[in-house]
Amino acid sequence: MSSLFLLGLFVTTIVAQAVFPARRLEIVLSGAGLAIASSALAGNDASRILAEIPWDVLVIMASLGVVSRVLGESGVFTRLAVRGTLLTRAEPRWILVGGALLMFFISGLVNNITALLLVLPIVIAIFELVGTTQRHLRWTIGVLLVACNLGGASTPIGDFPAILLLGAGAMAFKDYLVLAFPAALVALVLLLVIVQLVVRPTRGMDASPLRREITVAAVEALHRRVRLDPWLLIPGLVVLAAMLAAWIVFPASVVPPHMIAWIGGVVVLAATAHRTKTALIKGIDVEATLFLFALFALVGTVSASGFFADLGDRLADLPLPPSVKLVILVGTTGLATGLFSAGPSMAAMLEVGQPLASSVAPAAVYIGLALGVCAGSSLLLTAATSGPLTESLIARASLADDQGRPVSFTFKSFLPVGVLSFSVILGVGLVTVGLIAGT
Amino acid sequence: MTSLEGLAPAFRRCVGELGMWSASSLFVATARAAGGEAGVAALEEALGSEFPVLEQVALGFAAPDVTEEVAASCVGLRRLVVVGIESDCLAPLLARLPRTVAVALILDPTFPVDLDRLRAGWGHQVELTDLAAFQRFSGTKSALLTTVYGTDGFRAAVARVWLRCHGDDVRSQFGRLIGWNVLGATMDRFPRWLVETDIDDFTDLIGAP
Repeated sequence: MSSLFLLGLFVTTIVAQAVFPARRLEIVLSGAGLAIASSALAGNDASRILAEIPWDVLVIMASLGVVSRVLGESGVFTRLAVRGTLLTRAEPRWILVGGALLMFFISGLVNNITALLLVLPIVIAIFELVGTTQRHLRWTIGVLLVACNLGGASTPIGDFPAILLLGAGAMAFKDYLVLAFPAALVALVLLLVIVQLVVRPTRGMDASPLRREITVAAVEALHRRVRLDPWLLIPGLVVLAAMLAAWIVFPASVVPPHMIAWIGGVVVLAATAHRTKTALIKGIDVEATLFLFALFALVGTVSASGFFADLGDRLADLPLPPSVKLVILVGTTGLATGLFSAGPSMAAMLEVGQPLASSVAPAAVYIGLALGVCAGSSLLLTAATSGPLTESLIARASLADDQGRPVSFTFKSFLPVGVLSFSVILGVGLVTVGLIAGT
Repeated sequence: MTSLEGLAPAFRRCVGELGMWSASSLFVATARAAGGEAGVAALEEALGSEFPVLEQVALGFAAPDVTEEVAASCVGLRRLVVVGIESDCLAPLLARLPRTVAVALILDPTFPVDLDRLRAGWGHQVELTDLAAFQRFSGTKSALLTTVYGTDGFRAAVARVWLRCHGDDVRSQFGRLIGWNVLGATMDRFPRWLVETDIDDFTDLIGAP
């Protein structure tokens, strides 16, 4: 009875936070509180549930948040985006390709939100100057968002699901990077090829050479005074490089990944304290950290009831070939992420996938989960935090096409981009998983 | 080839962050470099009727460079409040001012601005302030400075925000009120987006023909 109640509470909470994303923190915190209280009333040890929260994952996320913030404040992303505009000469087609590649590589190293907040204003300025259409806006911004998701999945520190794998010791840093990075890059290239050759977002646009020259000059002028701050850039880059090297060189059993993150976070704070006193406060995304804390507590209570393990055992016991079970796991993860967002889906599905990892190559399960979450994050605008943020930034800019008709980026306008991206990423993910499992 | 339809909102944003004269100069110079006189004509056709300063710049109206004179008029100041941004004026002026001079900037709310970008660009040298707070920069060694977009010797075209800053009370609180003319003679068209004021507003009007 208690486990049925906990399961009902879990499902209700996850559905509610997906339906009311603006209130997701309060909803998940309330759900977690109720779950812990009911679990304690049923005689379980509440302190054990809290003790099992993966604090190491939260430490890694907080430290990476600080490093991201320091790098963001150094102006490096802004300069890169302006440089990209100069290189593409504001040609709308190449802005899409260049922007997607830039977001992919940035999101692999820092969190998506930091990257988006710094690069999107420049993209919006370009759209205002060079002009846009509803079709162009939808596909360009949509592909940029998907590129963020792919970049986040391409490295073990790019996004929450991969960090969870790293923190849980499920995969070594180098192993994840070697397997996930090429897959994510292939998915991005495939998506860009399909979008450019089949969708052709710039169809019907008339960006004359003169207008593009004015765009380049104006973007350069608007950002001329935004300079690189070496006192933030150098410590940020050096610490990030040192953390990456340490994660690659030291096995998790010798130096745990969260210890490396902890030391890196402290060093970058100490090195930049004279420049940015508020880096710590700004860098740690309190809402995201609290959300994940509550989520882990919620998943922990359901997990303690044995539900996820049971589901995992049932999946492992299905009278099907392991490859089909993997397809079911990855596909379900993708759909669950699309509906309920990445955090809850990865936290729950990681437990469900554990039993399967004993019958097939564990890396196939974990990489499959990460790419499944990435596909799901790209399915609907509400599936990842960056989606609603982008929607509000575009709405605030009040963009219009050359005829003065408002153009917007909404849940509905993202849907075609999402469905295509979901299919491409899931397809590449399944092929990757098949290759890993086959070797 | 030279379609510039729909460029006005982007130009307004550039005006908000660069200034009317700086944005006009940038657009005209780029159009000339990229498309020659045909490019300038296309730009004038697209934006000239809505933005008379751009039209004047396209027609070649400009005051001589008086940055040195403006810098000289700021000698001895401790605080300078710039009313309305003109990046092509502010940047060279800042380079000539002693570091001891505190510089504040009041933006013209007529045009859209990305405040984060503006702070990232100017924040290390200029403090952004507003109409409610700029008087804390007042004093005998303080000055208000604004850009003038043409004058006939009696009236001067200025940003709208100047009228909201300037008044009898403010006049007595600041040592100098400096006008920096960038456009030479007065415009022969209605100064849309701007307002006209008496040149007696200023203790120093530099660059007047």
